[in-house]
Amino acid sequence: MSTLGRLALRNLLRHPWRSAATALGIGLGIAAVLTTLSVGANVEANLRSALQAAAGKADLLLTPGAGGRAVFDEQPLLDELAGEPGVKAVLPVLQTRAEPKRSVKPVEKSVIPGIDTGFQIQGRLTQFPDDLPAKLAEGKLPQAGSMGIAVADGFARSRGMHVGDEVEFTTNGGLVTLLVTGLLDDAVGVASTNGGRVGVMALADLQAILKLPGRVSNLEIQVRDVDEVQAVAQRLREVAGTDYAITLPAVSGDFTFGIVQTLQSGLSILAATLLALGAFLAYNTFMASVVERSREYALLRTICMTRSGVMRLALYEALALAAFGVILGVLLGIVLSYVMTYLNAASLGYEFRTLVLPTQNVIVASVLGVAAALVAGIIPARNAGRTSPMASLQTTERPASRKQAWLGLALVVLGAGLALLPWPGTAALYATTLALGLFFVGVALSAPYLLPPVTAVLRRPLERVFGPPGKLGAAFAVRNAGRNGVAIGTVVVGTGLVMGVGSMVGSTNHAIESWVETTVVGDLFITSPVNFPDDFAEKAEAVEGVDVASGVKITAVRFLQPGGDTRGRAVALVLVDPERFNPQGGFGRFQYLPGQGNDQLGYEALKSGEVLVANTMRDRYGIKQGDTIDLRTSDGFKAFRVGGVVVDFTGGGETVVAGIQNIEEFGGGNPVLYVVTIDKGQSQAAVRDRMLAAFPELALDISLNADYRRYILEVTSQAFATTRVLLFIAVLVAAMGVANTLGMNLVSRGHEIAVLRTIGLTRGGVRALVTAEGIIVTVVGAIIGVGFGLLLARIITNGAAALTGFVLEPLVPWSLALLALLASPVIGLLAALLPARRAAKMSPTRALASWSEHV
Amino acid sequence: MSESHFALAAHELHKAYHLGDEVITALDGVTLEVVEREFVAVMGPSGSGKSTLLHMLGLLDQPDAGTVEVAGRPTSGLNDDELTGLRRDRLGFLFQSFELIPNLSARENILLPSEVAGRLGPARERLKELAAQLSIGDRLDHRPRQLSGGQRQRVALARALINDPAVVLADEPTGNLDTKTGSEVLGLLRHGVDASGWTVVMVTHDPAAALVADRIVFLRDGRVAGETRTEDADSRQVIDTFLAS
Repeated sequence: MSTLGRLALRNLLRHPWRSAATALGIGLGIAAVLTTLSVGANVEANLRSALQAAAGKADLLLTPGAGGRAVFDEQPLLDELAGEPGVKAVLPVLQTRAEPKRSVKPVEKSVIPGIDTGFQIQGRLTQFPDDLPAKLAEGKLPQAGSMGIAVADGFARSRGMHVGDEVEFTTNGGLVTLLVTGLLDDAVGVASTNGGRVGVMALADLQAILKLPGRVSNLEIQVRDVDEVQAVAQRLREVAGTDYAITLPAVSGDFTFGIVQTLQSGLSILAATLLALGAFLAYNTFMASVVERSREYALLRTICMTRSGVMRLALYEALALAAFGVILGVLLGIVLSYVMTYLNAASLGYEFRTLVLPTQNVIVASVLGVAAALVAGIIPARNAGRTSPMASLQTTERPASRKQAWLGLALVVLGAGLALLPWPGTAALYATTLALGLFFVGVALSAPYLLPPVTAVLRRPLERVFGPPGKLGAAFAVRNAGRNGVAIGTVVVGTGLVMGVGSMVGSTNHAIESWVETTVVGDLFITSPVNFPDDFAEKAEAVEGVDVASGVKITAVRFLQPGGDTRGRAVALVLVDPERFNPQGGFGRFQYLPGQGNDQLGYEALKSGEVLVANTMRDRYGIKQGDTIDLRTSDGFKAFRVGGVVVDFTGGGETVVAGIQNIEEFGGGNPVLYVVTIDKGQSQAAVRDRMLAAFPELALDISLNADYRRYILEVTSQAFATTRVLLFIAVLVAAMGVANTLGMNLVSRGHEIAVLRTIGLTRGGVRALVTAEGIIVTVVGAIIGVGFGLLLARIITNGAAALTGFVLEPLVPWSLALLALLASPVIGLLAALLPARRAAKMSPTRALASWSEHV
Repeated sequence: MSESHFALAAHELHKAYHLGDEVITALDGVTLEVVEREFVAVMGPSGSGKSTLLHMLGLLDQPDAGTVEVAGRPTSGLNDDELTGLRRDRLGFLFQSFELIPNLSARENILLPSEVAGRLGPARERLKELAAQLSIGDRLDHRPRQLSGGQRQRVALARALINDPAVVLADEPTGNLDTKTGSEVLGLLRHGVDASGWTVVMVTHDPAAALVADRIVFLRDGRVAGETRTEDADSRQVIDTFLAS
């Protein structure tokens, strides 16, 4: 390594804490970018992993097509497929939901349409144990005629089940008692899916219980040569016809894409801002370093180096810091990805099984991190290069110029102006990032002129709290205005971001609450682990106190996106009873977008077989009222007229609403949810109890309106858990920026502090001085940040609305503003802890000696 | 004497600084010619312009008028990179505060100008000679903070000499040293001029240091106020008279 390279590295090691904090700031930004880039990949990987585990040895799956029934006759398809060259074996599987009778509360419902989280029983050919995607941990596999079941061992333990026990299950075929013949290892295969809520029976026994002789849910196909699987799949599609779909086992999980895309886009903007914050931190460090070493740079200019040579040296340091940042960033990215994937799994309702970090994402995040560090280092490096050799005899901070302050103010005004403009679509989010950048640079440049008046106001209270050191700290804050300006800028950005994003989250919650108020109307919300019978609505309405029972089915349907995959894209399909939304006499309302329908038109549309689409569909695909869209039905893709565009949050916003009378067109079956209104004067709780008593065989789960709404809002809140993690990191980076700056201030003012110690200031006084300075920086930053945040609230919310397609009204985050103002001195205090301790430890004689030696 | 024998030549240098509305004349027509293998001391009170003169001679700043030639090469019209290259290759600098880079070892400090110039190989050989000459051979792997003041200044001198410069410019080289160490350093400079053919221009306010040189040039108010050769018997008296006036 050249001397310059060694010099660059050693310069970083000269201030290990500062360099570490800066590298950490960059690393956190890289970690955030890496994590958000990998969100989609992780959701997919986990879902595919679950599907793969469930499929076991199967290379292909045959399932009913979109127009098919949930179950179908296994013969003669079984024989036809088994006879095909290339096919080694065809194994029928029948799946059903069930509920052990003495079970505790059902599991959390998934927000992903089609993901079933109840207890699942699979009927299989248990006489061929080698072909089963399961491993026996104890006992035996149930054989045909035994009415036995093997359950996942973890589940059995949690329910106190043992081999030899008899357990009652509520099934679609009624109550049935099964003998537990064995326990399955829930670490592998099908027993590892669905949270381990799985049991396996002999196929014939399950078919008998459900009264579905000879019928199955899917066929698992093993091929002779796995390299030929695509060719075999193509052949089998020709044999099976269009009534069936033949897919690789892991392909079936692509319906989450819409939700994940929404999540990933929003988080990406946040992550990019975090990376920018890390770059700001690095900029501050580099600038301070250049000022501190101006004498050294002047010496190098004197004895041997050109301007570009000195600039290169400064950039080497940026590059070295970037390299450390990348290493830290990738390591932190693994940790952050783990946390995010875990949170996403919890909020989206699937199992966390695996963690993936695609190499491409690691490279992209690392390159962005290095680029950010180099960009942060360019101006300081240029300043270093411009150091005059004449400066080799002195170390001075260039005093802030009025021109610089005016420029800063102009940038602040420009940033504020950007935030106020009504940007269309996703341009709002890019404008946000630009506004943030302008505001940050503007504040950093104008801070030397902002600080004195604000500090004058804060001086008294600080003196009250800290005594004379408080006043000194205020003076130091003004003296270090250049560096503190950058730290203030970091706090401004952090505060603004928290307020802006917080407002967006609040707006989203408000919109969902409003949607729940308007559309999710009813007294009781009823689900069951087993299929509702065809006559459930009439029987429910016969229960005392029940007025109307309205069925809802939520499933996935393929929508033919213009210019997209010919198989279509999976979106959520919500089938409702149009009468529920009858303007005369119904009890629910949709929220229609302006000019895109109304209650009467929407009701008539649903009744006549048309559909309503959610606003997200309009935003993403340009669909509006009066258009037609193609949806996959039992008879293939069919055109449906769009009767209106509504607000809907199901399925991440990609939702189509149709009348439940069309249920046969979309695969048949029965509603999965009933919304019940009760007669006036009746108590919700009392009617609930009567319903439970009336349908014991269905093991109903009945939520009161308030509970159901709370559940929906909790799910939404969980969805923002990942956002909150990133915001926390933003605050952390801002606090690190303050701590770093205070540390750098110490280096340049070490002589002054030594003099103060010499003339009588105690160590405690020095700590108070540094703490007071830290508080001023964070409070000033928070005050400006709150103002900025109020502006950002609108632009971020509009951007989020454009991204998601949701209708969001920007809210003024007053409570967040108050919180930011109250929390800022506390954060300043915490940020100052380490620097204050270091300052107090400085020996006066050493500080005075090192000042005069310059070596 | 023809100009080609001058290691350093400055003619009619003028330099003024503007501080607000005030104009401060730092140099007012200074001419200085230094032949090869000569040791010249420049003396003057504060504000006499000696530091400014050193900046001009060291190509650290440009005069408002006048010319500077280094080893016969005119310097006016050269761009910043060309001036830097000339400084690196033909001039050596010795500072009062040593100005060693604290994160580099003595060896790395000395070789730095050669490494930047891309002449590390020959420089390593030259380092061996200089290390022996300056008695720093056993200190080359130490960091500056591990060296005494005298050792630091000798390392700084080695750095100034590593590229075999035409002239060594010294700015109060003994200012931060005790008397004994300062004498040692001056002795090294004197010996270097006599035995190795160095050319040295030294700015100093110390009469004892100035008397080590061959010639002393006096500056006052930005002009040359006189000069004396130190071999003259009354040179000390000349210095005292100058300082007293």
